[in-house]
Amino acid sequence: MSNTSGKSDMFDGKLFFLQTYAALPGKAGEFRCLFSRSFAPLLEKRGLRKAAFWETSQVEGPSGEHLALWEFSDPSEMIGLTRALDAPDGDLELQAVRDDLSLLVSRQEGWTYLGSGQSLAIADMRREGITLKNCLWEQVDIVPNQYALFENALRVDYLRLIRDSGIRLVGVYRPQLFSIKATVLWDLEDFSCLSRLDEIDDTAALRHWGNIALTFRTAVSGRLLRAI
Amino acid sequence: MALYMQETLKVTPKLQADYLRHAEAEYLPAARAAGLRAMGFWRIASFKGEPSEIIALWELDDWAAVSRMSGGDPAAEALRRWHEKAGQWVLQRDAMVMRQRAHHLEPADRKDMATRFCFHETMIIERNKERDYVLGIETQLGKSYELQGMHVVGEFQPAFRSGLIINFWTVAHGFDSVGMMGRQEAEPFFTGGHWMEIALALRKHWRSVWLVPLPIRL
Repeated sequence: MSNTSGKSDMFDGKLFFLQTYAALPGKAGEFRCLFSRSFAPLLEKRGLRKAAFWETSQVEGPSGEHLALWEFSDPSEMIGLTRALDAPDGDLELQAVRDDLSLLVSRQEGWTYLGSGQSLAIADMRREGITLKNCLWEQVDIVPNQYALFENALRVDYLRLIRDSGIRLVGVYRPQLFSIKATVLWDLEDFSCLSRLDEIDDTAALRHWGNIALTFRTAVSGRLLRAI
Repeated sequence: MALYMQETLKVTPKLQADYLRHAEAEYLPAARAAGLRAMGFWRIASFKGEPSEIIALWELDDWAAVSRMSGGDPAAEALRRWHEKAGQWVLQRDAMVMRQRAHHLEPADRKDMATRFCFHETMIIERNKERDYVLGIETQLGKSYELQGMHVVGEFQPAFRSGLIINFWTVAHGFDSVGMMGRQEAEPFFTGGHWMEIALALRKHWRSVWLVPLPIRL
């Protein structure tokens, strides 16, 4: 059915919650343990579905950084979660574990992410054998109002370049309330499949992609992530 | 294709000697076992930047080495244990995989770079101009600096961060070379222009620091 509401439906219906934590030096092990054993089960009890819990690879990105990506079904669930976490009469057990976690980190953030229509839900990932064990997480600064064209170019031009490489596009997301940020999640068979990027490194095709991408994005930075 | 990893560590100067002792005994063997070859450890010179910052440069064979380092094999586990332990000295650590973009490197310049005073630049490049900038350095500024005893040993482009080039230069005369920066003469290899005027079209701004080699046996 076509969208007659007049609203953009590019980021419609795929809802995610991203948590980023920077563990204090020497506290990563303790942080992971507390997050996995105590905090994550409480979020799952509230209906969030865990897509992945990663740590940043030792070769790319800040040490001690951890990301957790959750899927949920309806905005009301996120409202319920923020109330549980942030209201004085919220979920005291959840708040206590959150506070214990905060002693082990120097930074923590939570963002609601809206997945594009073509982004995979957890059920789609399972069907396609995507494990999110090794991932590339790219943060992209988008030229304003160019999300759709950026994703289209990515799917048409860039995917052709990395065909059969073991690098698979999982989704394109934008943080809620941010208009020039996008995140692209790639699933990697393992990190050695990134050698495909070396093969195309100095080709006319890659330079062409670079020129196309200029139209839609102003900067990109990535993290290599490994599931815990 | 060989890859490079720049590691940036923040270690309070008072703790650096202790950190280096332990790094030599524990980090270097673990890193070697995981396929990392250390090219040098330097501290940022005190007169231009933050001396708590240590920069280490590593070489890896390829992405398969990255994969091994990130997996669950014993070498990767040993490295992970080291980084966890290093929290007693290291306040902050960041790592970046890079590709070498310079085409005309003299192996002799790189041979003893770990023991050399170095000049390090983080260049913020105009969009999609990274290759042009590297070419400009190789054909223009690099030739000029050679006359001053500075040799480019790396022009590294991060694999996952756009708009950046990291320049590494070895410096012949150690601390005495510091004075050459900021002089106003036209560079001898330019015909009709100063490097700064050429560079304006290719980069936005930069951070440059001097690197003092640290006492660690690689």
